[in-house]
Amino acid sequence: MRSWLTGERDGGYAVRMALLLAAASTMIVNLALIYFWVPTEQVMGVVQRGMYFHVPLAWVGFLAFFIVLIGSIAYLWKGAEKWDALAHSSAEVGVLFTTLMLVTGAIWAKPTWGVWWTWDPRLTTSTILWLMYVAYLMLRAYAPSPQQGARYAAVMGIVAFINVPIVYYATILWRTVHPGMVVGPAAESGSLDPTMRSALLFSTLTFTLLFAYLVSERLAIRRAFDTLVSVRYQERTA
Amino acid sequence: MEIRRLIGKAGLLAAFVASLLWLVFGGVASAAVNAQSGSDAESNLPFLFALYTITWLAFFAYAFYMTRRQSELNREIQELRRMLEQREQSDA
Repeated sequence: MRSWLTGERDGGYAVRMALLLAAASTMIVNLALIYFWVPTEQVMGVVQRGMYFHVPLAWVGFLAFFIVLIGSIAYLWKGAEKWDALAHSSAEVGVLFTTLMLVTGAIWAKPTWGVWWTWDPRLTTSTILWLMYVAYLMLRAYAPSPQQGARYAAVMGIVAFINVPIVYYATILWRTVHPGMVVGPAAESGSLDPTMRSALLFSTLTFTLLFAYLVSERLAIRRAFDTLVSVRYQERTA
Repeated sequence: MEIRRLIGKAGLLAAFVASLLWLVFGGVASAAVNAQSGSDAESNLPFLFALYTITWLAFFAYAFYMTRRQSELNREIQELRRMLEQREQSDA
C-alpha cells in the first residue's frame, strides 16, 4: 500500500491507518460518554471529568514503560535491532503520556487542593519516573555510538521500571493527599460509581489505541531512518 | 483522481476535527449546565477546558512532528537513491 503522505510503498501503512481510525472513532465516542453520559461528581464538580483523561494517561504511560522493559530485556538477550526500536519508540511515546499525566494532574489539583503542585509521595514518585525516562532518551541521544546508546538505554529501561510499582502503590505505602486507586489490582471495590468506572475503562481503551498508533508511527520513522543510514552508506561506498 | 483522493481525506480529517470541537465545546457547556446545582462548579470550567485543550494540542503537535520527520526522511532517501541511480548510469 502507498502512503498518502509520501507516495512510498509502506508495508505497515494499512495497520497504522487502521489504528488511527480506531483511535479517532473511539475518541469521539469517549468524549460523548465523558460529557453526556457520566454524572457530575458532587464535591469537585465538572473538573472531576478530567479524571477520564488523567487516569488513562497514567495507565498508558505505565504500559509504555512495561513495553520498554520487555523490549530492553529482549534486546540484551537476543541483540535484535527490532527490540531496541520497540523500546525506544515506546519510551518516547510513554514520556509524552507521562508528561501529560503530570500536567493534567496539576490542572486538576489547582481547583481541588488549591495548589498547582505539592510534594506528595504519588506526585514526587511520578516526577522521578518521568525524569528517569527523560534520562533514558537523553542517554540514547548523547551516547558515543548508536550501538552503545542502545545497550546503555536497555539497562536503563530495565532499572527505571522498578519505579512503576512504587508510583502505583505510593498511596498505600505513604500518607498522601492523592486519591487512592480506582482501577487495577489494589483498587477498593465500590470506590467508583459503575457508570464512571465504565467510562474510565472505555477511555483507557481509547488511549491505548492512540498509544498503539503513535508507537507504530514512531517505529515507521525508525525504519525510515535505518533505511536512510544504509542508503547513505551505499552512496559513500559506490 | 489524486486531487479527489486528497479532497476526500481532507474532508475526513475536517469531519473528525469538527466532531472533536463540537464535543469539547458543546460537552463542556453541557457539563456546566448539568453541574449548576453543585457547589461553584462553573468556576472550575476553565480548568477542565485547559486540561482537554492542552492534551489535544500536545497530541496533535507530536503527530505533526512525526509526519513531518517521516516525510523529510523519505524525501532524503529518494534523493539519495536517485543520485545512486544516476551515478550507476553514468558509470555504465
